[in-house]
Amino acid sequence: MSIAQQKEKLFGHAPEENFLTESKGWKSWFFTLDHKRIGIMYLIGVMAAFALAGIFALILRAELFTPNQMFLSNTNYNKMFTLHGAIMVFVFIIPSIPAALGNFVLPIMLGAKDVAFPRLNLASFYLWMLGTIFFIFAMVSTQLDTGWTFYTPYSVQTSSAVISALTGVFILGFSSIFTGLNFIVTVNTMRPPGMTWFKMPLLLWALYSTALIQVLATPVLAITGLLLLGERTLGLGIFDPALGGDPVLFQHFFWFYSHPAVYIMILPAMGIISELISVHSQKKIFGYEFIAYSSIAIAILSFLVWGHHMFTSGQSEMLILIFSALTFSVAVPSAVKVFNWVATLYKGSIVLTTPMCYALSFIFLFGIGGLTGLPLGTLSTDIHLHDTYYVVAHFHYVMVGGTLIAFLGGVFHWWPKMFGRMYSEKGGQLGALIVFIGFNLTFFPQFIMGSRGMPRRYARYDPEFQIFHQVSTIGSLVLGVGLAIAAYVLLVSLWRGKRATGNPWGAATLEFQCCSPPTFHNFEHEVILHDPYDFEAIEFDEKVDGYVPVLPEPAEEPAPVPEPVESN
Amino acid sequence: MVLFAQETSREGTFSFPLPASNFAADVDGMYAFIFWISLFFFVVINVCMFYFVYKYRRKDSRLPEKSPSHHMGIELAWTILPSFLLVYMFVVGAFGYLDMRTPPEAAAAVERTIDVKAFKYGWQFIYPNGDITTELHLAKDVPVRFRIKAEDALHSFFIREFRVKMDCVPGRFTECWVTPRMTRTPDETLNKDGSRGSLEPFHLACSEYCGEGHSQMRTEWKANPDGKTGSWAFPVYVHDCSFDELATFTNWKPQENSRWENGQFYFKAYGCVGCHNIEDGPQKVGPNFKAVNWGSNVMRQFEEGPDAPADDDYIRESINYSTKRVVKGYPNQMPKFNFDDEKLSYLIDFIKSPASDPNPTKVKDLKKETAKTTDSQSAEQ
Repeated sequence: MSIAQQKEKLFGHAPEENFLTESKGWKSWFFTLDHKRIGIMYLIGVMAAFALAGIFALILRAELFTPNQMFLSNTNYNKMFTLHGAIMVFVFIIPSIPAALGNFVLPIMLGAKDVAFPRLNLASFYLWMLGTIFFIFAMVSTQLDTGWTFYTPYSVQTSSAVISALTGVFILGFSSIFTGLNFIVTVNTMRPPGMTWFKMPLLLWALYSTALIQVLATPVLAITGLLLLGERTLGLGIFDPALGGDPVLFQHFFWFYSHPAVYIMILPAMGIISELISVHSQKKIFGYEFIAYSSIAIAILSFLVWGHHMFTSGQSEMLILIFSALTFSVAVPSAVKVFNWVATLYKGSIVLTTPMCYALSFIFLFGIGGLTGLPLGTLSTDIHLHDTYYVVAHFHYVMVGGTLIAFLGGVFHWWPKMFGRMYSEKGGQLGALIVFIGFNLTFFPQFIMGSRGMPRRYARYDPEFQIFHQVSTIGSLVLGVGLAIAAYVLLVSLWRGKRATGNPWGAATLEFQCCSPPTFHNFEHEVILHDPYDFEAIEFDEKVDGYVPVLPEPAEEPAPVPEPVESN
Repeated sequence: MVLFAQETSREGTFSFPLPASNFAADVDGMYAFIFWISLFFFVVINVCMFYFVYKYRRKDSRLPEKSPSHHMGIELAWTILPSFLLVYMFVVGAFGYLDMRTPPEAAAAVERTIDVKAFKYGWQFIYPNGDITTELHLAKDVPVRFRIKAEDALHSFFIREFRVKMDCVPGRFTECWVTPRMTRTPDETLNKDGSRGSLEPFHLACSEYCGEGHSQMRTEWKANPDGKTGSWAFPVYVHDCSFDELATFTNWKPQENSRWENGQFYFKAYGCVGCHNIEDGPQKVGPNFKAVNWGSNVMRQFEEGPDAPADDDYIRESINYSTKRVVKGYPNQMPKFNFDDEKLSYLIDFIKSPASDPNPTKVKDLKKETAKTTDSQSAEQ
């Protein structure tokens, strides 16, 4: 059999059935153990949560168009920003990349059939839904006005639905732990023979580091949540100064989880960017080992810097000095990654596909987000900037400009793989551009407001800040339009899109070796293993009309050709 | 609804408010240093990125020409070299911070300590001589220490012109200090006719979220219903005088004023206005006292328990034991006060008639009058 025939046989025909069509009915989704379907359900879920929390953001930005009350009372404003923050953090960003994209991509990247514990995976999704239901219950009852941080003693005093929201956070935490546990075991035990740690795609390093944080840090959130529940219901007196407790202790507990959680959000985003930059410039990633080690370094250091959220809280000077020093150490691995990405572009073969537009936009925005972290880590300047809009702008540049942009880039990158359809490239690029402009318009003025001294979480403000707020509000509308365009482009592709081949981008990682969408078993043949960034190991095949792995020349003897696995 | 409010005075540089304290120059200088370093790296990264994207855009062949994917020298360099800048930032920032948290002896002395009390939703300053106000008066070039406490929830004491910020934590004292370097007097912020002056006071703000009235805990112009006159809530003033002379700005002499005026003073000094409106206007956290009828024949309804008459004793209880009975429809958020009977009686007189003074006689004359009547009565007998 010639090489051409082999290729034809392995990659030429899309199978009749794929994971989307192999079984039908809601039960086939709701009780599925297929990591791909669970990933898709997570994707739909987190997107809905994102849309909801995004609408809250638009409402509160609209209210801030004038310094005085327009349509939200103080209390309603407080509820609005709390729900925006809490839903974005707990229901959207934390599960977004690992649970939605990671679930879909991670096993296929390993050439595996599924994650190590498919049932645990489904349980994680059920817990996510249950936790979200508690949040929705909080939303329709008395809402929540504590800020997403639940700082005591206010969270003990307020009459809003702290208990149901905390229960939601508690349950969502376990959903996150299950996903992390699954990923750790899967990466450790299910790598194909020949894929050593340093032959893994960088996204897997990032997801692995993330999973370590999820498993180690999230229990602390659960404990904190339980203690706060006890405080509210039983009056334990651990955090409430009226009962002899210490509110600063709560902040320590809270940030002991929530700072590592920041890296649960950004690390997988960095992993995605490593993939996108490399694939869409068809160049081996620069400094693979430094990027891989920096993921682990960030995961470890993330546990040691929580106190930088508390520089003005009244903790001891010695602690504050130590936390400031440690905070600067996190800057190094983050900067290394950025340098490596830019170096990867050097002498590449760059195409501005939609995922690449998001990746470049990530480097720009994450650059601003990261660098504005420096005056916040520097103690003397932080005292002035702490709890102002400067901080709001900084973390939105990292969480939205970083994580959300990378998430969108990832969705566009793996969309053809998930649904077997190509979207309109022009439409996708337009969406990415408008998102980029809208984002900067929204959040850049907030840096200036913040350094001028506008405190965060203010329903009313001094008229001198109005011009910045107005630019920001207009920007948020532009951002909303950009996101709507992106969503429209993706949805339309499901009906109108051209059929995608197995490997539309010329990527060298394994998930692009199976067909799009993958079959229930992911691979119909044994995987052909090569370096995840060796783009010479794949070639364009006219007959297949897509990229396929370069197959070895057949020897005189009939070579051991990978046989198609019988599908059932 | 005014969409575009008239531009107010915006002082300071483009990105910072006025540098009005001993810390401001250091903080702003350090920020500028970090800013330029950051801008340098940002420009280098993005110029490279955009240049590469343009220069190496895909032309004909998919596979790029060979280039190294690893260079230990470069990678170690860009890992290690920026670290020196980071260490420098840490060290300078740490020394600046230790300055902010270590009051000099002159400020640490008891007679230079101002107690700051934050509560939902207002501020109160207690001076070494016992004066209590909601306005912060400081003297130029005189270091002062703030001993900060919170009544109820977390707050944060933030004066942007001073670059000073410290959380107010219930159940413990926190502290910070400052030496004001610029003056800002009430005359500059308030005209003789009661209208708004050309400048604003320095700005105090609560910067730790504390609930419904969080954004009311700031220096703000409160216009009267006539739209022209008004007053500043929680202003920060710096006078060109010695610290002891400051007392004249805050000394309140109850004897020299009527009972109602004393009540009005304490009502404002203790920050009651933060939550209780005393004229027509938006509903604040607590009941509007202009709208309430008082008297032993008027019944108040409560969240729990039977109705009770709104007499003087009820007002006393609501102030000193505020959480005991909460009026229906209002949150249980009022801080507990512990006023002596004299202050309480002044406050009650004012609360019962916030619009006008029913008896504008000075307290000291009031005593004489009472004495006179008693004298004449005894003479008649």
